[in-house]
Amino acid sequence: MTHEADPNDSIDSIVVECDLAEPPTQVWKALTDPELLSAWLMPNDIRPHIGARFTFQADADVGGGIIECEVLAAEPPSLLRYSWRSDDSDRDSRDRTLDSVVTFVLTETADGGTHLRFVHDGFPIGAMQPVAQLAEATPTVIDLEVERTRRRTSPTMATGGLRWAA
Amino acid sequence: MYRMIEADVFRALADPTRRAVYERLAGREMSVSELTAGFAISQPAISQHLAALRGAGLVRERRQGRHAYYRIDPNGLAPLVRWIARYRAFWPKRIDKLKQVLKGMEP
Repeated sequence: MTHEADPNDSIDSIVVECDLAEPPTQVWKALTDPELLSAWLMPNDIRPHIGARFTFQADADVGGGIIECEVLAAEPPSLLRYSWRSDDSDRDSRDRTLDSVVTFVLTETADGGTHLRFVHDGFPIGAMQPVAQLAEATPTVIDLEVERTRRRTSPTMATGGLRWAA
Repeated sequence: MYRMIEADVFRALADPTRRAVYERLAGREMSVSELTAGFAISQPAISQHLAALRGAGLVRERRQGRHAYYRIDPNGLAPLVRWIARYRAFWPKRIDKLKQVLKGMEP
């Protein structure tokens, strides 16, 4: 794999960075054309305009159901950001959702390719410094849980561990 | 089944006041009145937030006589950690697939 864990990678964000041979305009198309996007991510009806709402039909590995999105930033061919809200369709209440944000930043490289920086963040845990400290103070319980998670999801977990459990 | 628990944790922590209550309890165990002293809202309101946090498995209650004390449950954040871990595995795989799709595209 060519991605590297970001040094800022932590419990409150997921970062994937890589260099692509194709130019930003082509990568932009793969991020914003519904058919191309579904070929590498999930079935969707994306429209890359600020305020546009669209959905993904989520795969089982992220819990299934529907993921509701709203475009927060669209600056072709360099910046795409949308909200990422897993709808908990098992429950009746509309507000039982898992809110977060995904961002794609495309930068043209010297050889005409693209540097892609992907970030998934905005989890409610982001503002919770005291909790991170607590986790350090009680490592056994949290470590066990993380270890179980790691085993279930390996090997790609190696691209960025849950640092505050260390 | 995990998704419901995860959703409860997210929802409980999405409210800024509830998150502040949770963060205060991360420091040490407190009674409702101790906890209320640090906030500009009423004791019943604090109790409601505590009930929501307990419902999501984030806070535990300990009864001693007429008094109740609250502290955070260190396992409470596990569903959130699990949710994030799932996506931490998901995205690198999908970015690899993006590379394949790019190679197959007409420039």
